[in-house]
Amino acid sequence: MLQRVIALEQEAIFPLSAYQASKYEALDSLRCKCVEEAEKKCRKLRAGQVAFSPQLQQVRRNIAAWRLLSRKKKGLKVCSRFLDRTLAKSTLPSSVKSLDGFSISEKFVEEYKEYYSIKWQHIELCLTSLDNLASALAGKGNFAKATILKVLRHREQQRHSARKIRYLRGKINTGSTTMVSIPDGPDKWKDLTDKKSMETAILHNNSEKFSQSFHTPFYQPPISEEFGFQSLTPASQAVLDRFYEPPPNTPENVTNLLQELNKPPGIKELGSIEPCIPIATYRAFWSKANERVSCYPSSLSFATMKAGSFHEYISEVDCRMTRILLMSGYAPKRWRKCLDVMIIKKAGITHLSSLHTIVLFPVDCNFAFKYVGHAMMLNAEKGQALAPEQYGSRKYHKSIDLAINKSLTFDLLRQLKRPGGLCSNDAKSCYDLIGHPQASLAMQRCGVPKSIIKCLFSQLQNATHQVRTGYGDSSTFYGGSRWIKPYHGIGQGMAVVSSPLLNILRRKGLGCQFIAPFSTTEAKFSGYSFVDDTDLVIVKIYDVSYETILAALQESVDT
Amino acid sequence: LNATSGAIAPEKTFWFLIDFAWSAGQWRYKSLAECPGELRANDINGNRSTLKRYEVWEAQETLGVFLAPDGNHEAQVKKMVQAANKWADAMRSGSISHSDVKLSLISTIWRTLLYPLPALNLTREDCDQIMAPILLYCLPAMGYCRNFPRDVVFAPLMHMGLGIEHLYTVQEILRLKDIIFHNSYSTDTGSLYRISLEVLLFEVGISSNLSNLPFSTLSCLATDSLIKSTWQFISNYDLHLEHDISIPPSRQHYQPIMKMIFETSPPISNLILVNRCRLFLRAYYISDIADGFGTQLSKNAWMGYKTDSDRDFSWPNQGAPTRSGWDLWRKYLKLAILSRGRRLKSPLGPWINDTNSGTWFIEPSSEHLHRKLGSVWYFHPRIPRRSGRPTYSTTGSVCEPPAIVHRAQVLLRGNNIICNGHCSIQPTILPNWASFLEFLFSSTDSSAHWCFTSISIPPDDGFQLAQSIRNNSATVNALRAVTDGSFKDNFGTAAWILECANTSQQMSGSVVAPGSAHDHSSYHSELSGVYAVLLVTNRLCLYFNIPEGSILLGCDSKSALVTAFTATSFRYSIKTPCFDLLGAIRQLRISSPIQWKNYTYQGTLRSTCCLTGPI
Repeated sequence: MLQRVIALEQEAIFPLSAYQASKYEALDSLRCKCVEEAEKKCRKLRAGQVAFSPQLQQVRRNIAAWRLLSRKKKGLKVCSRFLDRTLAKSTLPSSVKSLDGFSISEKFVEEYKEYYSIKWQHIELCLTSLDNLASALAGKGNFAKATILKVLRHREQQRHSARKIRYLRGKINTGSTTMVSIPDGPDKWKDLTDKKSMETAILHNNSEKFSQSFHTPFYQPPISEEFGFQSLTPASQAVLDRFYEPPPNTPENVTNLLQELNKPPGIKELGSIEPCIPIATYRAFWSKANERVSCYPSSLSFATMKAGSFHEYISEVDCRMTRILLMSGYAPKRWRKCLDVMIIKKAGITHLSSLHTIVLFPVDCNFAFKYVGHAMMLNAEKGQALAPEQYGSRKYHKSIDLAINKSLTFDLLRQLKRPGGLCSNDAKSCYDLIGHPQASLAMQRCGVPKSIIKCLFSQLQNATHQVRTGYGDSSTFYGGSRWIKPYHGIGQGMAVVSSPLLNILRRKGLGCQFIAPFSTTEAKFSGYSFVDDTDLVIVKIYDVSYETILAALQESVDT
Repeated sequence: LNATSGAIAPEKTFWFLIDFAWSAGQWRYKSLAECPGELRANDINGNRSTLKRYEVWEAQETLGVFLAPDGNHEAQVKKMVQAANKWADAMRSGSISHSDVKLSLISTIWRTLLYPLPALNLTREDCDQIMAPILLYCLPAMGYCRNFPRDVVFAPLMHMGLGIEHLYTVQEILRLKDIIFHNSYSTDTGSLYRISLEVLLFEVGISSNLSNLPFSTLSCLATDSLIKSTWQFISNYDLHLEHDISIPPSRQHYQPIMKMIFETSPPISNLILVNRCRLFLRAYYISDIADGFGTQLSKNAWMGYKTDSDRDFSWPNQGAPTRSGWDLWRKYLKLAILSRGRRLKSPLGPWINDTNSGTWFIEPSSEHLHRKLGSVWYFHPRIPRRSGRPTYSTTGSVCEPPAIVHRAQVLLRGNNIICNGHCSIQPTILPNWASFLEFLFSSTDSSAHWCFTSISIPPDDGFQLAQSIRNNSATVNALRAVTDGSFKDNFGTAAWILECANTSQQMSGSVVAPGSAHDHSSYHSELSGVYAVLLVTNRLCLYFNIPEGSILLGCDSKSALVTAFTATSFRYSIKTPCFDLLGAIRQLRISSPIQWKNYTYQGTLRSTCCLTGPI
């Protein structure tokens, strides 16, 4: 399979031909089947309240063996090979098969008594059993057995304590929502509790949510004709190269945005990000991944990808399969499905409009998004393409630093007795309203190549959306590849889209400026922004009237 | 936002407008009625909606912290008390072991309470209120009496306490760390902290280190702020926070006005009133209120008339003081500064600097008035008058730079310029150092003199070494610096050597690592050596005016080299060992005119360079 993948990778170009696409689909299908087969053979751990220890496990196996023997003696159907295997795992001799039914029943009861006699000590037994594990680990590594044992015991103890604390704080996960409320007349709400009506309401709501910006300039001619829905047109290139002339009657805010979407010199020097993911990077990413993270349910999951990353061959196949897509701009059929999970933001509030939508993508698609996002942010940081006011998704930038800045701004206003204005903006549906043409331009501005843009936005625009509620996943869906205008929204990520907006504010001189009296140190910024949470601040360097501040704040909000 | 297909949610967006009014000798916030106005925004469908506006005392939550423009923390304290109560109630509903109680405390509610602290200046009482429900649950659950002495509860484990931290102490320590961290990396937050501190010093009127200013008496002069809260903390706990903020004096024998007045021990209420007058006049040093000759108090300062100032953009606004305030101002000026009439007790010396554009000058022999704008000189003709102060025309003509000038203090009165006195300018003496060693000590802050206490300089003062730095090619690396650190019995030292392979000339030195025995380690010693060699080399470049060059630095500690020579954009956490030394090394690298390369060598400096170190 690896040879076939390598051969396809070598011939893959942007855009992928129909023949190559079919070859990719065949390989992807084969890969999924292989994973499914391997998954079947994996042991599934279903840990309960009783801690694991070899002693308890042995007694459990004995009980299982006695149960099978008892069933056989009663004349029920028991596979003899399964019985032999179970006996082999237990401590019972094979001669017990010749015992009569009464003796077997007695032994069965005795074994249960034995089980209950040691079950209450399960924690101590578990800790004792760590001794063997420590010996095994000490044999492998460079650490002393005592050290390993201490670490293992401490970890078990902490896990146990943390579980207790979580339980006491009521933080044990309660699962997805089993009820949503929809408006039913003025100030009236109707609760929906059955699967079908909930799914219908959510599908309708989400479909509307992801299309409520269709009237905005980038989704209307002539802008939509100039840029398309993925901004891969010559006009887009002209915007990036600073040569674009907007059509007459283009709204001023669009013209301002297009001016700020040109590629910064730093990014031009650095060049585009590499779609060819190094295998080492791929393996490093997956080896650190948390296997419990959800994705679109399919044969590939976080657990299988993580397991695969420890195997050289499998990880190479997986990595090259993702590479082909990013290099060729092709979004495979498996990627064109996603799942909307409805999360309750505040306990007890089930209003449909108050629920938060998390979109689950197929696992490798999720990885591709993360890889591109990470590489893009790194490139943007190096090329100084991010607005200094934007603190979201950036290294060395914490949300509390913004709160400190805000507190210090208020302090300075009080110290200097100057007028100032602050507007705390709440962006409506944040990620779900971001238009694809603008997002694509913002990404290209930060060095994302066209092949990656094509791949990712084709996935977003052609995906079908199912819904997950407390009753399971829906079979019905919305979206798909038949559209006049594609659904907007980018799932996650905001920093590169909001940076041009903050740059516009700064260019217009709308912001806050302080100068230190002694050292003339200057602090100048247009606001505080953490992902979608933006506070616009207006403070003038000279003493001005509050009307001036108000006018500037209004201009800032209108921008 | 509309251009990105997004929109504001007007129902969740709010705004504040902060403005101040001076009435009855007090500042107060203007209410909504006093500064009316509305802000409007388009929703997703393009409909214009009015945004909700709050009063300055109504705190609103953003980024998980309730902040009100007037600085009150009532809402945030309420939120934190609620969180503490909820946690205590939840924990009370079950039973966990004594040891798990502390784990539960530090891993759950403590994290929740810690998050907003750097942005707040809660009082000790606020913090006690927040901690009360937590301690009420924790102490019995840990097996202690709930009234267990709090001194023991909040004492660290090493001093036989329970090791529970007090929220107030943690808040202030977090802020101190923040101030150091953000100023090290010159972030926006660092700039804001710095500006706030400078304004506080302006408000107080004395630009000394915070720890030298008595908080109990001077705090009433400063507006409540995060920095003021830090000042209180360092005063209460006898900590020392050093800063490099100083206001450049304009004349010799300068003194801050408030320092002189404070020495007369006025009651706090009087001090507040007098300080208001000073803030109104925008004066800091006595020279700001003296006449041009520096012998008398100016009439404007005595009468309480504000004069034009170039500090408009950074000076705190101050409303007009009351008549009783001016009476007190004059009373304390008489007590502290004046002798007879408006004559100063200690006349001021010559002007120190004349670099400001727009400064006025007088030729003492002819009493001709000149003004310097940029590099162009203007001559203003005198208007003949029989008596009074010399008066000049505002219309100036371009002239040659005058030979000998005094700096003049002038007043603009209609179309006339009145000279309020003049005094000579202290000539700028270019420093002339006898040796490189003298230059090292005089051009470096005294806190870095530990680097030069044991230094061996070649007879030519390092001239050849400096030339080698300039001529050193990055590929040949004829010039090398090598450093090695030692650590024994809780005492760290380092030695360094600068050597040119071509000329065999050397400069070397050895240092005792800075800090207390508690700070010392072998890693600290290695970094001390790196710092010393960087500092001396940078000074050598400055002394011999070397604009560029390169040098190879060797050290046997790979970790010290890696941390010291990481990209300057990389930010170490303040918890990183030797954060102070790393920050100082980073600053030296940024300011260094030459290119630094590094390598790790095997062995000791003694064997490599035949240098006898201090150990």
